[in-house]
Amino acid sequence: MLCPACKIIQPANRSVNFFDIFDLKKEFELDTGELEKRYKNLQKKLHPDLYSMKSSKEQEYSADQSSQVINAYQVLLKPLSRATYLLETFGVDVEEEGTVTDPEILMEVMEMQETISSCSDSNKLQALKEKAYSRMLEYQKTFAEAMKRSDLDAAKEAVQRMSYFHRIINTIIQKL
Amino acid sequence: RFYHEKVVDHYNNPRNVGSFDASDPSVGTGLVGAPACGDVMKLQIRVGDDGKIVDSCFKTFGCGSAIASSSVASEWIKGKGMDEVSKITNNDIAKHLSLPPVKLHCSMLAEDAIKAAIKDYDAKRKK
Repeated sequence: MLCPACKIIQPANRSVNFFDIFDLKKEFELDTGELEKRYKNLQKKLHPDLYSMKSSKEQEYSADQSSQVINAYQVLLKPLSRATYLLETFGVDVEEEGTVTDPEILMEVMEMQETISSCSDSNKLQALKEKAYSRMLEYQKTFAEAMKRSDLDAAKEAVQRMSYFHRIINTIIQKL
Repeated sequence: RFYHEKVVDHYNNPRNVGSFDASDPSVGTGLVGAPACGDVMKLQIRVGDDGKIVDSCFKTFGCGSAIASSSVASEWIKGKGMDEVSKITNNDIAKHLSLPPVKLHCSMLAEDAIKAAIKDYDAKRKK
């Protein structure tokens, strides 16, 4: 982001890979502590106070870079968005409109949603949230394994299932 | 977010919410999901001796547009034959509800649910 020769801030590169911004390996497994550390370091360099006396162009570039870094950080921080992004970099669009018809996963999700809507016992809801969370972790593992053997279809399916349980967890959180 | 009044109406007064016994031979169950937003939609039909849909019900977990789309679908298919019902398209539903482009997949899901319910009923009949 700074020119190596003159150290002047450069315009943000729109097509830069988020993992590259933080110099991290392009894979699902990620040390979020390390990500946070690198994020904070970058933000220190881009802090608006450092640019308040610089030219308006430089202020603009530093603001652009800063928001790009913030966005990349938020995407990589959470497993679901990280997985979705990783697939995107391989040209796979998870949000592609194709109706899911697998009865097993749909029935499981449907039953969970029905339980949530008819239940007011916060202990039961908390337990269900934990169940949904552990299912999500299972699919995270499935995703990581699918990526390792370059099985993009299986990876895509795993991410879609992750998003179902993510949705369930949010529904419960809203209810609690 | 702006929702068309028809969508709000179906959301507040959904028609035909409920469940039939999926193992009943006269019942066809369509269970579909949208990968993008995590919506799940269950549409069920009860078919009479004359081959027409005598009753329908649905259960949908998702956004207002998804709920409205399945509510509309459940209403439209009552009293109709299966051939007629499989001609219902997502465009019909989307137009009726004035769905914005970003919600078109909800009406697509409803169309898929209708077809899945018919397919399930037909498969059970063959057994």
